[in-house]
Amino acid sequence: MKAWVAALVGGMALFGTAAAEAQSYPNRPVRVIVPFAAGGTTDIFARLVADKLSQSLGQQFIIENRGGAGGNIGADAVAKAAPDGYTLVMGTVGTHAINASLYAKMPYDALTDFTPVAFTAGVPNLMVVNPKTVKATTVQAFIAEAKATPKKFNMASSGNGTSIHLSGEMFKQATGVEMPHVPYRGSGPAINDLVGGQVDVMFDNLPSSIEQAKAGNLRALAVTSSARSAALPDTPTLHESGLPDFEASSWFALFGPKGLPPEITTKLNEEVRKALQTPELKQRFADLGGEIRLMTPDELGAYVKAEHAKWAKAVKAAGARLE
Amino acid sequence: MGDLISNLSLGFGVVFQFVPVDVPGIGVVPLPMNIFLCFVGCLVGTLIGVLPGVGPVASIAMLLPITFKFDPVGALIMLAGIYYGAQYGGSTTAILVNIPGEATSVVTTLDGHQMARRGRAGVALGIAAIGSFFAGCVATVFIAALGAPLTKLALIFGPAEYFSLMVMGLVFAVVLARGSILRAGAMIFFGILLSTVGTDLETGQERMTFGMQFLSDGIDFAVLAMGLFGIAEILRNLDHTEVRDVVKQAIGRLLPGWQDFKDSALPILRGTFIGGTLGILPGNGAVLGPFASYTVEKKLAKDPRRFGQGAIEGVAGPESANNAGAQTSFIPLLTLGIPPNAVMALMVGAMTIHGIVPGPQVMTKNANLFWGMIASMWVGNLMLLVINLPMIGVWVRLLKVPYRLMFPAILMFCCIGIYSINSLPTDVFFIAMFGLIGYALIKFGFEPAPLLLGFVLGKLMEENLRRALIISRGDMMTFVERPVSAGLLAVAIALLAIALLPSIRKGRDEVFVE
Amino acid sequence: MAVDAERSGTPGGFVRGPQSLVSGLVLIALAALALWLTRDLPQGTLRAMGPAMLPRWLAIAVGLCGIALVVAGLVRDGHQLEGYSLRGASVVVTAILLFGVAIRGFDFQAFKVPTLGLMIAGPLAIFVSGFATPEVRARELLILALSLTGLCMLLFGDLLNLPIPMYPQAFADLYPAGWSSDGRLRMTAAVFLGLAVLIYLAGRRTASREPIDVVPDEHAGTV
Repeated sequence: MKAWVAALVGGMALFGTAAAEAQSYPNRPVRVIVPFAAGGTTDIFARLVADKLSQSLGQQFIIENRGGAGGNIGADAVAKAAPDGYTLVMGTVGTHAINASLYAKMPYDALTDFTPVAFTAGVPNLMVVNPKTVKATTVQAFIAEAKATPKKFNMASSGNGTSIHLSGEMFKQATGVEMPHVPYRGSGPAINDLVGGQVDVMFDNLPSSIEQAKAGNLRALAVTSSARSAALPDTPTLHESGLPDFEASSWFALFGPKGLPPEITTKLNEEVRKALQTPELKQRFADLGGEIRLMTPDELGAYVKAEHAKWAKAVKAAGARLE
Repeated sequence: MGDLISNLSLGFGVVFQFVPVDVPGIGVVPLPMNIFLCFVGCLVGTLIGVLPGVGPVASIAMLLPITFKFDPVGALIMLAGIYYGAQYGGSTTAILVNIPGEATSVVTTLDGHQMARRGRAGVALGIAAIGSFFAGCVATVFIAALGAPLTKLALIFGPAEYFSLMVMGLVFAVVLARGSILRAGAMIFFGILLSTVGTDLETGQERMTFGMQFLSDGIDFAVLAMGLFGIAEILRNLDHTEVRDVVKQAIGRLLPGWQDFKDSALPILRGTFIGGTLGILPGNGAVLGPFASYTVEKKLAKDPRRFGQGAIEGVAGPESANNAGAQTSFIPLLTLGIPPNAVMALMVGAMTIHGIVPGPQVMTKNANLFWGMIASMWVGNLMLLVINLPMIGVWVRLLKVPYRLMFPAILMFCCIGIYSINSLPTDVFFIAMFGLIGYALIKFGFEPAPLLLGFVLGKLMEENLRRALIISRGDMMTFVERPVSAGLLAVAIALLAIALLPSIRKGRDEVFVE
Repeated sequence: MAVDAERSGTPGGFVRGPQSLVSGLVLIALAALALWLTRDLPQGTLRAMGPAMLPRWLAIAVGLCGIALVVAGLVRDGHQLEGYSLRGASVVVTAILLFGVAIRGFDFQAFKVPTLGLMIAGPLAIFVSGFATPEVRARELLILALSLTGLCMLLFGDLLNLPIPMYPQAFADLYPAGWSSDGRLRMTAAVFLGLAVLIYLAGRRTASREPIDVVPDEHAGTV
């Protein structure tokens, strides 16, 4: 006991001195910050990947949910963390592409304040309508029906400035259809009112509405990704439905603070890619409508840059802005 | 009926299933894993419910990876156990130290804590346990028998109906108030005003945030409740040496007596019905259950003045409503795949992680899971009773700890709990600020309960009001034209009239002075 | 116990219910603050309600309640203002702030604190807050601080696995490399509990137990 007391006192004296440099990463638990509440798609993806990383790297990857301000609070915490590989963030299309154009004040720069680590998966959005209030079974018929009586349909979303909202705004922009936007707090309540016929259409993330579409409570008209989703092979893309080059998907990728040592970045990237190729994760991601894409850190960096530019245009067109 | 019985027997079959487990040192033996997981869930749930601030959301999220190893049914049984266990444990803290862990236990603080102060903590805890058990059992049968048809009720409720429901809820707050109606009204308005702090859902503009980022998502309920109740209560107790120790009188009987049961039987029945019905609503209608039940009991009581002074009906009814609502709020999740609150959203996440995509087809595609979970709720409620009844003695003894040691401990648990929710030190600072505000409010003769109710309902009310008006294109008549909405508003007006009339009759003095 | 600052409202005069008057004024001030904060936000129309519409109406409602209370305070006899204890409020608030600053570190302009974790934040909060009451007994409080922090480490860190910083990284690095993070946590908690027991045993001979006065509660239900 005495030895430990001595160690404790010694520990107090050592305060503030830097820890001995690690010989092999990781030698202590790694925090993966999820900038959204627990239970959402980002959280689930992060947990699935973190669980695999904990097994393969022999150190706990601890998920920490730090939601708020559209993911900015959690992402900002990582942008300002030490680039030692022990603090990572599960970034999304929101935190690393949309928010930069949406928020008047951004606490970080998505392109320069982070080191891209690994892409996990993309999730298409699904254009679903209430089958009782909307007669159309195709996108073109929907456009015609909507234009016949202006402002007839109401468009739900999971919140202002989400990819769900902006996909809808892009659709309105491309087709000239007028639909008032009805924001909800998350997909759940929005789907509830969509099924109940209080609102008529939504460009929901595929995982949260696919079962409703399969059960016939909702009718899926199109997916917003550039290719059809394996989960709904019979649903056309918007591109096929006469809206050329329409592409608006959500995606989830792992980032570290800027200046992450290349060895650590490479190691993490390899491990994530290995994890994503296990049959178990493949199955889990497929169930969620997530499309796994394997990218190197550089490919991810380029992808984020392209997405950043694309959403900047979409946000501008939609006229959305958050203070 | 035959269907129900065969379904329930399927469910209980799942719960009591023996799974071969490799026990080190003994070999592979069949064990009732699901029962075991249900027990663990209830135990952990009770524990986190008792700890102020630590909510089921954070805990379920943390325990999610542990469940990866189990089969989906067992995992969900355990997580469900954590949820209703936490609802249950929350009332213990509300009764003993006057801190509501969840919006649903705010009401329990009113009379439950007063009972504790009068040496009847054991009785309050006992009747809460028994009421919850009864409510849980009834609600389970209710879900099993009527779950599917009741789903339709959830779908009638659009924004207009929710707005009217929330208006009705705010009227409950007036009835809830112990003192002057004017002061209660001011607190309700102030509560709603606080709920509007943060980014506006519709336009994304920040309101009353002083430009601070951590305020952009609004004020967290737990932070507000912890400050206004937990910290303010500590400050208030520090004022008076003579009221320091929570229990001043000899602790009476540990368990409710015959008279207590007689007084509580009807409130438990009514509370179960009210809570169960409101729990079905997908927009988190369950929060209204305890408030509604309290209102009903206070109105039906021969001597309403006993309420707020430790009336057992004020604990029995709302606690039953709380637990019934906690059970029936699984209906939208299980039958529609739509989560009515944050915990249920997490359950959706848990299901998907385990490869079950929640949706309307879970009931048919995963009948084992559906009926297994329902059966496990009944088993879980029994376990909660078994876990908690013996604990009452321990809790009551805890109240004998001198206050000079009690309050630093409460304070630290509040700090850790609040930090664990969002990992934000600012949340910790905020409980200090709301503690001071709550202390000032007490000094000025205001009650925090109506404020908290206004806060909880305010957000839902504003959002649904604006949604309803977008959909109706700005036509206020939508609230009257839709029958369900009109009905709710009528009830609200009637309730308000009942609440105000006696004081108007007695002269205006009553409105201003207690 | 409010010896520090026992105050009551102006007796006599034209103010007949000082509590109502002051609380009314506070409400009016709150309403004014809300109106001022929402001054730049658009009100909107019923068809497209702006962000300021509801807060503004509510602020006006709060203000009206305040005016009614002020009137009541002037024309009706009411309660005096209750005294308050400066010591309790300031010490408790300080303790909470210390906890918040220490738990995950703090970085605000020139003011920087490293992550100290529960190991430091916990005992700090308990020990400081204990001084909110004049009955404080330092040794007893120290035992409570150490033992409760040890228990909380096990409860929150080990059992519930919540992501709460437990100790500074420099401290964790003191352990031999072979130790798992759970092992380090458990050992630290054990040291805390051990220290608490030591202090308890060391002071046992000198301490004399005092009976705790149990007084009936006069104030229950009056607030």
